[in-house]
Amino acid sequence: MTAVALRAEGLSRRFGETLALREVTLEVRQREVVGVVGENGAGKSTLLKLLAGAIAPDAGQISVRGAAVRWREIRDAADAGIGVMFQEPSLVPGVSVAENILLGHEGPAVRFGIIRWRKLFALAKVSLAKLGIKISPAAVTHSLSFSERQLVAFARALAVEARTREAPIILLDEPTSALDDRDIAAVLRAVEELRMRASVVFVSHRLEEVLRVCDRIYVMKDGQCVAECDARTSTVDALQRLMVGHAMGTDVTREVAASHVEGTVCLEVRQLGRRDEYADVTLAFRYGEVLGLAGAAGSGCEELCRTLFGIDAPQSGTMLLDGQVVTLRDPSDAVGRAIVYVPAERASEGVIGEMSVAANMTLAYLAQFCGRWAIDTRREWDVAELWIRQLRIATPSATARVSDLSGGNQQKVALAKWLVGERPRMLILDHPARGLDVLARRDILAAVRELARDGVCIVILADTLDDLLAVSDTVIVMRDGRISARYSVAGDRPTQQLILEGMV
Amino acid sequence: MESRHRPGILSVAPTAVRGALRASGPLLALLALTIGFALADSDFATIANLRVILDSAAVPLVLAVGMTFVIRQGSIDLSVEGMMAACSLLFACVVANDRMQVNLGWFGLPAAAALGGVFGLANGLVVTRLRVPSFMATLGMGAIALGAAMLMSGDQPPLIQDPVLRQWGLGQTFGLPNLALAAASCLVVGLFVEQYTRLGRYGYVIGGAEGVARASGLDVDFYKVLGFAFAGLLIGLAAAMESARLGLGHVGIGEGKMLGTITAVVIGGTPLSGGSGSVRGSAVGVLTLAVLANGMVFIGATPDLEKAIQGAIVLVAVVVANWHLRDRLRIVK
Amino acid sequence: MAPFTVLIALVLGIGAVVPSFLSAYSLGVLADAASVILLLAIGQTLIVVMGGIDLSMAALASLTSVIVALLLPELGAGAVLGALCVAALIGALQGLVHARAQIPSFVVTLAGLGICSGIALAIAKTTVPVAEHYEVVGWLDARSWGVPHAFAFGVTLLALFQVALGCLRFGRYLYAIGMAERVALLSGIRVWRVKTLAFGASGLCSGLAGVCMVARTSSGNPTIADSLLLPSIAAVLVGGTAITGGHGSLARTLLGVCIVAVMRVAVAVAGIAPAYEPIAYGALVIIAVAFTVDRSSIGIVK
Repeated sequence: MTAVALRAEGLSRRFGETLALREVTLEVRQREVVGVVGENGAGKSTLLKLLAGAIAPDAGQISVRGAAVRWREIRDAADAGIGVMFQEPSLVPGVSVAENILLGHEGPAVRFGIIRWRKLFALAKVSLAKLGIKISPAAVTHSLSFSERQLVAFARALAVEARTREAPIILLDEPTSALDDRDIAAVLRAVEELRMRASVVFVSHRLEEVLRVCDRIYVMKDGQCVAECDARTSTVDALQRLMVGHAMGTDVTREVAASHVEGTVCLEVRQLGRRDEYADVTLAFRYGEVLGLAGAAGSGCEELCRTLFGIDAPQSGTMLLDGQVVTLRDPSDAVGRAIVYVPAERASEGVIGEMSVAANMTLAYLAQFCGRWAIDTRREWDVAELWIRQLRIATPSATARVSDLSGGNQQKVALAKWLVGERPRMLILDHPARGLDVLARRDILAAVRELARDGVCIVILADTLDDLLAVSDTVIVMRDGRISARYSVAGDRPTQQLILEGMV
Repeated sequence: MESRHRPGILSVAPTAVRGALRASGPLLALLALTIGFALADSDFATIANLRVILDSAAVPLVLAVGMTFVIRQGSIDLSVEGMMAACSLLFACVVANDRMQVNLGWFGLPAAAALGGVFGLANGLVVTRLRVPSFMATLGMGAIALGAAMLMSGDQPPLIQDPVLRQWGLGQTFGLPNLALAAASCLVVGLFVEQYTRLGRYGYVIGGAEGVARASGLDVDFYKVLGFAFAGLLIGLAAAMESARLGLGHVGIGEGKMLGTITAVVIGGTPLSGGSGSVRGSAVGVLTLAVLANGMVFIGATPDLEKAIQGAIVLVAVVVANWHLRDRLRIVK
Repeated sequence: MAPFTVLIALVLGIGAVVPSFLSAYSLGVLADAASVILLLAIGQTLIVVMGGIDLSMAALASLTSVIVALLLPELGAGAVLGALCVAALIGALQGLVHARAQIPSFVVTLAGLGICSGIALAIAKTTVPVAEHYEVVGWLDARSWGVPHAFAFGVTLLALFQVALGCLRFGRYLYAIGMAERVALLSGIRVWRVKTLAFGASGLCSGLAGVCMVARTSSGNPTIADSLLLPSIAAVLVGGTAITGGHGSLARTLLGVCIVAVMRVAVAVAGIAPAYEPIAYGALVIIAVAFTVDRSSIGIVK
């Protein structure tokens, strides 16, 4: 039995109210490549950040080569021989490739405080050679393409090898995303080579690649490790089923729609495109209909929603609102046309924590709460009380600070903001139930279906496929910037696995 | 999301060309300005006038080298005027003067620089320890330094009576103004520090991606303080140089220098957000502003407008440099 | 409550050392010293609440004083009106550039400081005495029942703005932008309009400060108000308005102005060298920010 290089036991981590990781136990043995797969929000990135020392666990223990460790920062983990490549390129744009690879560890190349460039370049070349790529260590990092920068980040993770006598442990978060085939092959080759002298944790949503290079695979779902598989005997299909959970979706919350009457078209997009985000998107959003968007990170779903709300302008294609061609200049333009948006990051984008519930609710349509000159605080209070009752928001009063409320109630306030005025044309919800408990989730989704019944056109990026199927009339699946599948839930209802296949 | 395309020759070339243009932009502007003024008035393009321009650019260059380091690490230093005043007064008091018996001679220069370094150190500590944003910290520190200068000056500014230093401040060597030579040496030192020391390189890292710097275990606070201290040293030296030329320690010695220094650094290619830029570019920026001020006299424009023009230039330069970064959700305070 | 106790402590402390300090006459002098700083501080408060800073206020006040002094003889009251409009416009322009070109406010107003100062110096190299129609502004320099009119005017303006901040949409938006600009943008608020208006208001305050200076010195001067920038910023910060924005009020600024004014007069009364003024303001500003900066919202301090 090969020795264990890295072991995580009972790791838990909470962000505010959200339990991102729940008692996760896994281990990586020496000269082994371990894969970690799971849906968006399953906890993969959080796990990796814990293993890299970027954040500390709330509970649980990490041990390296049998010895328990308590890290305060990434550097501590790096000194223990752990090299990381994060998903967001974490490189410094204005300096050379060599400096990025050796950042913080230039030691041997610096004598009496003076940098010896030739030595620095030579050291960097060692790491670059392991990947077999021809990037000059003297090149300025911002002049490289995204793929090249990704590879430099990989080389940086590998540089830890020179600093430790033990076999290093390399953590890779989505190392092949956004790379072209040639570079993907180089990365996978490097991982296979690494197996001979190091341990690797390979986090990815590309299941074929995971099956190819890994020895064992952990499947994560909802912050927990739900399965451990042998890569040799596993298949993409089996992995997907484990990722999704139960085979058939049993959704209690959805009433079976009888014959769904098609509403008129509210917004139509034709061949909408934004470079490097999405392309050739043609969709019709109808009044009274809930359209669910499903896609992995980078699939174009979130980016499309940003365009619909006027945050980013489309570079090609047209948008037609109620039949008229429209160009949204910015979010205030969208709001002016009754297209509204509930953002994913509730605390930093959805509500102002330091303001009262009432002030938050009236923020978007404040003009309607003004008398001749001044804000009519009485009317504000009355309307706030109304919506507190309607949405069952648990708050001591309408004047309580929003930051004192629980996440679910904060989200209800964020939603109410768009309902205090006249009914919106289109409501876009970006992961509205993220981190909420079951009751709050049910309330939000019920409110969404109620709004659809009232004729509002809804676009939703659901947090889980469960929710998606529970609330949507139409499901659009996107992958790599394009629409890969369309389903009508009332008609040929798709299974969760079918949707997942369209996503990855 | 970045480009997913395979980087072929054709897609790399335009970026390279654009990059080269951006790098040589300031130099082209300087050349254009020089040629323009030379055509407007033939007396502009004489050796004698060139010396005048170099002489006028000397002190601003020393200031700009220091400011480059501060701006590159993502901070700003608004204390130039006050610090120059204090260092000027110190310099005038420790070399042969009409008020005190002290006579340090040439050692007055490192003394002034040292005081500047101490003030710079204080700037850095206020920013890193007290968590005060640098524009506020340096604004306050500058006022404190100015007050200190006023205390030192008393009723009568001290007059410098050291003939050697005065000659150095006003004279020439090998046909070039002494102060310009001194400034050039500071430029060389700045270039060396920028390329070959951690202070220089980490400045790029801290300014360009401070989060990455911290995650990599860099002692960010230490290098930030060092950056401010280095700039302070140069400000002290610049004050000594100017005082030697003027012949006295003067509370108003730094007047107008702050805006000019920042303008020079910005048009020289160092973005106010930090992370890139070189003292080479700042030197070009300083020369550009010197040529501009000098040429304006030749074409008859009033010199009082210099401050207004500098303000306009820095505004336009920053707007142009940041135009492509505009985003509908970008927050700028 | 802290600023209030500081003020009381200062007044009583100085009153103990110099008994004549608490006389009506002396307090009148105090109010005089405070008036111009008060006007500048009102405008600065609006900007700081929004999360920015306006470094051009003092230079703009000087420029206004020059314009008023030059035009008063010919245009009378029209000169004052015109100069105030120009000041408000310059302020609004800075706000517009800041908001639309997305340039940090300290950069835009630093450039504005240079431009205003330069133009003022180009128009008038030195003091411009008011030849005629001084009475249009002269009333500001007078007193009634020991209270300087300028101070009363300032306090009235402060009260007006305080009401506006509390009751108008503009005020709500100002605080929203200071607390969470991203949320404000995503709520459909036209942030650029609010910013432009706020900077226009601070420009107006600068203009009023300039007019006040003309009343006091019967002349306009291109650099007269320059030394008042730091005290006015100090007044806002000492009053308790955090530089990070989203909090604070004009009532607090009034407190801060009083504290700063007391310090000014105390320095003169106690015979301390005027050199200690900039030292005091500098230290005050640093200490005030160090204590009130909202650590959680700043993240990385640049």
